[in-house]
Amino acid sequence: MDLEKYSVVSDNNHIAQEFLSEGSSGTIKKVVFYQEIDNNVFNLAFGDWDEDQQKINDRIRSNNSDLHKVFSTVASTVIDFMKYHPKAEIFAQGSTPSRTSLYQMGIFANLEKIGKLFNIQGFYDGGWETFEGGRNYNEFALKAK
Amino acid sequence: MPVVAFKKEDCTNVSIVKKMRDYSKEPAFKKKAENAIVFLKKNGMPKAFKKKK
Repeated sequence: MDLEKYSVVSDNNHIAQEFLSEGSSGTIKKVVFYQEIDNNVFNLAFGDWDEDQQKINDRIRSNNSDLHKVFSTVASTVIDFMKYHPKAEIFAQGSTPSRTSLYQMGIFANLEKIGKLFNIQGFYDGGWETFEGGRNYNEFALKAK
Repeated sequence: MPVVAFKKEDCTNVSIVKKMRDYSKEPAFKKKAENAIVFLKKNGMPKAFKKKK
């Protein structure tokens, strides 16, 4: 079954992608940004655009009652990004424990789909291992199979 | 070289915009990149990624 996702706008290189989360707290602009931090290694940065402050806030919990839709959308930006950067390795690290848990839930909820396309690893107890649903990871990495 | 076939339905409808804000200058994202670099210097990316060439 396909999970519901938001429509996304992207720059030409597919490294910056934006979408609008719509829920009980209103409309919130979400930004996914793939930062190249080493040769073909990209950090997945994710945050809310704060219109008042005119800056990214990566620590806020927007509680917009659309968590699954947001993370399905983020997962789909990964697929889109990898389509244009097939040799890329993606690294992701939550900015807070709660956000890390959200990443984990997002990966797990979409595991059936993204697990077919990507080798997904989690950092656990001092080392990388194949992602498992029951583990609490602080860092994640993925690469196309 | 591994070939990955992405099905169209796996991707969200993505519209390309010619001009988008430069997020590379965002302090929160810069901090994230710095933290990632520190972590990867210490731990590296998964060795499993290097098995297939």
